[in-house]
Amino acid sequence: MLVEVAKAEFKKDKPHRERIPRNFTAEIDLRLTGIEEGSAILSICLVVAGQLFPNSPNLIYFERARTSIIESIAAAESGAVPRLAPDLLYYFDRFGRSLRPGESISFPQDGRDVVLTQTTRERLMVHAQAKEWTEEIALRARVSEVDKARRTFQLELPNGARLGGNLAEPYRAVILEAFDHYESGRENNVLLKGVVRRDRSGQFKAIESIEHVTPLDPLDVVLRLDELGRLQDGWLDGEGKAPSQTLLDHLKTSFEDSFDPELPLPYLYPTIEGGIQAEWTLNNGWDVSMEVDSEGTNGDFRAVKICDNSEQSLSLSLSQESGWIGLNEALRSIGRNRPEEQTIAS
Amino acid sequence: MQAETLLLRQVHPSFIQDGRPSSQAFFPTKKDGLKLSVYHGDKIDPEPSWKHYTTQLGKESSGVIAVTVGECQSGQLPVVDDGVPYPEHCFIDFKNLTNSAIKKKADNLATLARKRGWLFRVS
Repeated sequence: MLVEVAKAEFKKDKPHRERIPRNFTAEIDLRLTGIEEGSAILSICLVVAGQLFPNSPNLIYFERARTSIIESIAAAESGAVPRLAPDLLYYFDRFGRSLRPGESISFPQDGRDVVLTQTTRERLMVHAQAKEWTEEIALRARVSEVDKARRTFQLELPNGARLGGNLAEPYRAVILEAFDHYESGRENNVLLKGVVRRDRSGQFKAIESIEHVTPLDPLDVVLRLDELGRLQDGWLDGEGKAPSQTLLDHLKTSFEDSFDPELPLPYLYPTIEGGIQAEWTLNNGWDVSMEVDSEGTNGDFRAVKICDNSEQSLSLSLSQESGWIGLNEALRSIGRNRPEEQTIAS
Repeated sequence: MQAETLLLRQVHPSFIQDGRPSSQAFFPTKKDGLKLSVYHGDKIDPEPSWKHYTTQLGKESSGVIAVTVGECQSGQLPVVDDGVPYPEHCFIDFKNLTNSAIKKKADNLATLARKRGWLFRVS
């Protein structure tokens, strides 16, 4: 993108030159210069050969290009119209498409950081007058159709939309097995990571490329929370508050980042008050539940072993990492109890 | 009503994941005066109770699970055979209990019902 914008700057400066000079692009390189401690922040440096040879006549176009790109991002960030032409803005199709919610790329400019996020990129693509663009994405879906002769398959997304892909060898077995389970309702979901083409309304139009496809656990937390996200107020025969998207997003992130992957996944159910109840049935006779309030801040944890009337209870602060550590420890501790072991009620 | 009489409880589809019913299925609501409605298992079978619940009462259910009168009584939960608003209606009475006691007793009933398994399930 930087090269194409630099070329456009060059043409703007020299409208009578038909050709871009030879070796125009040979003088630029992007290098990873460091990974900051304790985070996933990458420092990438624009290295131009002209820095070694300051008299390089092309350096100025790359510097202008860098400024134009950052100013365009800043404009989109503030809701203004970017000054880059739509055909150049379209290069954002390839830049920043792996950004997930909460992630960003920062560019220092005039003493502040200009930030490219999923939202900013979407605005830039709209200004590029793009009808469709690509996104790197993780999709949870069922395999609803397979055509072995044509070597294609169809995914059925949770919202009912369908998306076609090619049945390539690396993930063929996973797709076929998920398809076999389509009607059983069990083990029939897959996680597809790859690049998908979407339109302005956010509808997925086609799979561009597939990185990998893996079978999903029937208790996959994100899949279940997405299902619960479709509940409306009054879902329980006229009663029942629907869980908020904020709560569902908080739980998705927390289970992904803070829940011990070695522990069994919970069953998840809505509560009438708009919260979520997580439940585990452990094979040593313990039944565990944790009611999460509608704000996602408190977890009311309770474990019972009905055969000997044992019980444990805890109040967990789920807005803090310590609450999730407490949940992991409590589940590990209960899981270690042998079936015949007596546990002191607390 | 005998100790072994089954009390049939309808389970809302949102309270089922991967075939497992939630303990939420046994939580009484304040709207119902903390009276948990169940069907008298000596008067009606699980499948007809589901049909009555979904067609006559127009409510959602994906299946039927149950506890016995004896299991409720062991947990200090009275069972009342009131026959209102339909002849097979009974309720498990959670009144005068604290919130945490309600949850504890509902959890226990759900554990017992899960051990008994589904008595009827919509296929």
